[in-house]
Amino acid sequence: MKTYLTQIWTISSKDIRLEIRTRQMTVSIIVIVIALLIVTNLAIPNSADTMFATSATVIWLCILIASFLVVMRNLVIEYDPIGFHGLIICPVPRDAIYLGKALSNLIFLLAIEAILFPLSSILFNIPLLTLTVAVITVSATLGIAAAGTLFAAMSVNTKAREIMLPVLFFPAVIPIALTAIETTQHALQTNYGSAIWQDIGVLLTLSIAITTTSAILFTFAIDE
Amino acid sequence: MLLQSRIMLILILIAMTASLYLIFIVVPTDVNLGISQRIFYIHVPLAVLSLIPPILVFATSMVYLVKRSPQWDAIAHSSVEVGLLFTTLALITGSIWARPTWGVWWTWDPVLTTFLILWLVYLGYLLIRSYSTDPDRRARFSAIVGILGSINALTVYLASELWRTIHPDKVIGPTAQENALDPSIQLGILVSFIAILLLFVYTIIFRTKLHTATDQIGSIQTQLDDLVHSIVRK
Amino acid sequence: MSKFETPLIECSNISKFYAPERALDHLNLTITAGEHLLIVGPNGSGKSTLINIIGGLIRPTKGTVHINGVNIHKASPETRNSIGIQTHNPFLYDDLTGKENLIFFGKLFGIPDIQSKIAETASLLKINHILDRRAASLSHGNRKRLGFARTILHNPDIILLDEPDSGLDSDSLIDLRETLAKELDNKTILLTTHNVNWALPLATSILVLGNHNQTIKMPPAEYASLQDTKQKL
Repeated sequence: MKTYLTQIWTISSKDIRLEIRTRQMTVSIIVIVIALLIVTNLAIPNSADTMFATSATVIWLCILIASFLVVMRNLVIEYDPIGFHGLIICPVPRDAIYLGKALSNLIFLLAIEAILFPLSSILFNIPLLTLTVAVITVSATLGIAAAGTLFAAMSVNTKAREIMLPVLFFPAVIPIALTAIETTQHALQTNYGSAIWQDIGVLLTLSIAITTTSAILFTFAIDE
Repeated sequence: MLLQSRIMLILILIAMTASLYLIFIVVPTDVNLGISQRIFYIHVPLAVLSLIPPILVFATSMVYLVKRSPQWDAIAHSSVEVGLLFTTLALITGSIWARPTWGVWWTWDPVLTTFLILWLVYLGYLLIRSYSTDPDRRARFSAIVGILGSINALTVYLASELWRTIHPDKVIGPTAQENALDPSIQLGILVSFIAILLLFVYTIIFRTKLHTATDQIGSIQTQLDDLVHSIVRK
Repeated sequence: MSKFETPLIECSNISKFYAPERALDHLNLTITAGEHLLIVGPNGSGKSTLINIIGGLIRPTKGTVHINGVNIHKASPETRNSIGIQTHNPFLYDDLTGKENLIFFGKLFGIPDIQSKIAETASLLKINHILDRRAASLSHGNRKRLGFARTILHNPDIILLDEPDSGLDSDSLIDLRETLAKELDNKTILLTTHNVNWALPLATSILVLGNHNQTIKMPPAEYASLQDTKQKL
């Protein structure tokens, strides 16, 4: 078990080290997300009620687009120069490779969200920086990173990767995103009650189910 | 084989005729929803049966990944094709009902939205098959998409339970209220369901046989190629 | 039974189709422990494909590869510990330094004292001067040498090398051959190359792959004699 966890962390930490060194991905994606936030803010009528009603949707839309870019980039840097062969030649179980890549995707997304949420809180003038919103965000991002990692691993292997990934990724993550939007919207109300925890439970269950299934299926995705 | 196919088609014809007779002649007009409610007898079976392909795809895709037998891939492929057809028809018939009732062709009600997602999942499955040239990779990737897409389908049923919805309350299924329907309406739904179920089963079997035959032809071509090659070598 | 008689790698009826071409067709091959097999053949004869299949990187369309009696394509990941493989791609991350690349792979292989193992391997291969440089900034030859270091870092019993000599200067070629002949002499080595004269002294057997999927295995002396005859004609 210790070896397994070490291998997962070795793969993740390599991705994080590469990103810290090059800053190719996160900085660019943060810029894109900020641009999206500005555009959507300008497109929405500027009233407190409208902002409140649409903020959760806008934020999660930005996260979905950021997720697509993160998973694609993180798998392309793995696949394009060396293919998955560089990892397959090592005594690492395929699911450990998957979990390593999914973990680094999750960390990158959480880093982007750490910028996005405070900024959105200011732009929309809404209370986003709460523990409940944080729990919702982490739960949903886990499932999004999990599904994205698997589909990106498949897409980089096909002729039309830029087309295949969105076709596969967005339908797969929309249920998680829809639940995340609904629960975030509830969490923004001052008296959301205990029902929200049922929704968070559903979100977490879905994310864990997708993560587990994706880890098992990843073996078949990179098996040549 | 041909006889079984013909018997099946005759049964479908009889069931469809009976269904149409019940829908337009026997069942009373709904008090609240009016004449437009009659499309439910088509829409409801289509919608319910659209949820069966995800289960089939999930099971057959898992078996394919373990056994790597093309037969299971053929069944999964057929299930998705039929699922796409039935989901499309369910969405269209639903819209036809929605226009006079809700005043709009479409609304982002969670149940409708998730059916649309299911439609996209089926489309994604067929697209990845078309973008993969290697048969083994095509089948593997399709199986993966099928398994994950099937998990999505669970949210179709959960959606109407967890989220606010303007979709009519469910009157069939495990969570439906008892005695929610008039007996003649129940009969109408039952006969329609049987008719569309027969069509569903027949289409899946037919498409599976077509895909299997295509694979077999490909396999025979490879074996022939092998034989020619070994003769040339000698 | 001497080490040269123990079958270590058994390829049974290996075929690989990249439709409509056949890279390999019904190839049968047995390699014994300690054997140094040189695989030669024209471009497109399937040399790289064979190395990749034996190394477990790609599955054959038909047939099986057994290493120590275990089907390599169905084995657990731990079997990778006994195999070191270097293909055309040296499997290096461009934005990591040479040392960071070796540490990464060393951790995945579970090498206990990575730092000293890297120092030992770098000294053997004379690559100390490139360890602190980013892989992207290295020349093709140095990337190959670093890739070779990655290949032998975990002390595998079986070493698979696909054109390890390409891009190397004459001094590096001599060093590589010496390393293979002396330090790694007790290993089972399969290597492909177009530079037969360089590799011939290393080989205990030669596998010739022909363009129409013909294969023939012979001792080096017989191969050398055939080459002489071919030249005279």
